[in-house]
Amino acid sequence: MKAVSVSVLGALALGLALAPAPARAVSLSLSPALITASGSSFSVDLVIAGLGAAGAPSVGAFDVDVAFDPGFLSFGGASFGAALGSIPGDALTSVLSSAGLVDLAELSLLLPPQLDALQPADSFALATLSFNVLPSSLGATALSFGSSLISDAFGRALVVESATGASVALAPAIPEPSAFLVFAVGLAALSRGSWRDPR
Amino acid sequence: MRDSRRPAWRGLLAIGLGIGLVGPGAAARAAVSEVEPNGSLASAQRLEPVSTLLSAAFPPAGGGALVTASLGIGDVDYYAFDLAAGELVTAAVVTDDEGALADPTLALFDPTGALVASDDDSGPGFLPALRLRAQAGGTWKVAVSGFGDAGFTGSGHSESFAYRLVVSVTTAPPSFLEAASDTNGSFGTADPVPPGAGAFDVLAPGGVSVVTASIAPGDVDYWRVPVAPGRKLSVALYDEGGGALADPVLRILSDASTALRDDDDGGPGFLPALASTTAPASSSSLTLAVSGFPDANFDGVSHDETFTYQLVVALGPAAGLVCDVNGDRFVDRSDIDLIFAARGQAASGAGDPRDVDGDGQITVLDGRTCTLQCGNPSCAPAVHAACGLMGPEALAPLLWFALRSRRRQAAAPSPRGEEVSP
Repeated sequence: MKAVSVSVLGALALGLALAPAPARAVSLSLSPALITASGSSFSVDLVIAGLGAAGAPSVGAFDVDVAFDPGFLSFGGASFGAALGSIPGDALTSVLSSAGLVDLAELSLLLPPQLDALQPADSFALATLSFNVLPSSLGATALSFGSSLISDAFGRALVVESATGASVALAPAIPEPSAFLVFAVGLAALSRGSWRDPR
Repeated sequence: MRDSRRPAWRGLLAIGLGIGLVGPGAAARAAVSEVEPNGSLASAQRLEPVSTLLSAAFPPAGGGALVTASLGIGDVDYYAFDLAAGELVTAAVVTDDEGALADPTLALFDPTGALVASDDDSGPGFLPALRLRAQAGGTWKVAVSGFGDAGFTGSGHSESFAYRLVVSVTTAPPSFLEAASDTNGSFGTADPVPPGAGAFDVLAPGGVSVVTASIAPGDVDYWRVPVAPGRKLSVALYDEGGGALADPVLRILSDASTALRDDDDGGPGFLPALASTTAPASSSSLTLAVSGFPDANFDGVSHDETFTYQLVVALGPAAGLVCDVNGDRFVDRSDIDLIFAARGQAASGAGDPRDVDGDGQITVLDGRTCTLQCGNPSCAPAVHAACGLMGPEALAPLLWFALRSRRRQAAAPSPRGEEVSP
């Protein structure tokens, strides 16, 4: 009986020892969270947080979907940060856009210590996305996250515990005087001034 | 066969509870992928299965670890594992070409960091193999490098190849022994090789098992290993004398009892070793036969050898090297590009080299894991050292022909046959 208990306890201990350690939880967000788009385009950062300051875990790769309303916006482009290495030498990137969805992915080719050195902060921007506001768009719309997969430097998934999108207020464009109009007004003012000169 | 000194159900209960608690990931841990940087004693990659799966909770299992990795020019890979004093460790590097092209070297370092054993070509072809009994307990290291790197620093070698490192540990006394009744003397009565470190779960990437057994004159041992088609089986025998005193022979048979491969002296000394045998599609298991020279029929009739051996069996991934998507036996950026481009797709099967974590999906997690197996920094492409006549010197014979032709033309009489007066 005693021997059985030893075996059982040993198995329990082994099971606990080999049970996977809880993965680090991170959060994703779009910054700024509230965007007032009064022009024809705007940019927003894809930010990761919760990595802890300095050292592991670091981000080794990510594959993130950002959804938008194609009735108001069109995707303008994306640029990636330097936290996963220089592009194209040290990282692979991909940007795929379809109606209402942008898929951003980056995979670093650097070693874990190199990534730790490149990512000293708890929070940083993975990429910057640009969107175009469709003509005569008014009201509000949102940018939200679709499926998201974040890898640490060793290829292990980091749990995304929150993914906060952004609200976009589409304000009517304030009409700006054209350059020609400004020039013409200035010219008229000068002409009038010289006509009134008694000399 | 189980160790007759222990009630079988105790071990099975322990295994069952252990596996139940650990979950499906435990079996997969038996095969691990290289994680760079591991280029020094200080940064040696830890081989957890060796230290954990040989604990007292798994008394019937012999165990070890199988690492899939690649080595680039100037690279050296270190791995760490725990040994107790008196335990027996074997280490071997295997390649798909069975050492025909690649020339790896292998070294073992004791807990003080001292190099205690090294080898170049004791395995099949140019492959190395080592066996050593630990004189001291603690964390040992094994290093893999290329021929020319005597100091195991990575310098001095120009080898680049993909490899599998097979490390086995036999406890003292051996945790799995052949049954005293020795009833495994024919194909039909073959004993199952113990599962070891989750080695033979056909869904797992692979693993290692080691069993200790004996051969007496007229004796032959048959062992059976379940396999899935395409998986790579490595089998090696080790003994106390390093192959100097005994002369075993080894055979691999299919389900239909057909001899697939034989070996006599492929390992250290007179020991046999078969580095890489691909499981045929028609077999759900492979049977290993161990006998003594010159028993060509493996019926035990014609030999009078006596020896005790460790049979180390490693079952590797199906498609050579995991992550080697383009099959060039080296993991570099071209492979990572292919994995990255395929993200979001379903894996083509259990052996898909792009699906490292075996979850059926190709993701950036697989891509990132594979970057750690690259043989060069930033996954730069393999640079193959030019061999003798691959440069401009290859044109030297043409130069010789040109000069000879010119001399002949100069020496030949004029076309009209006129003599030229001095």
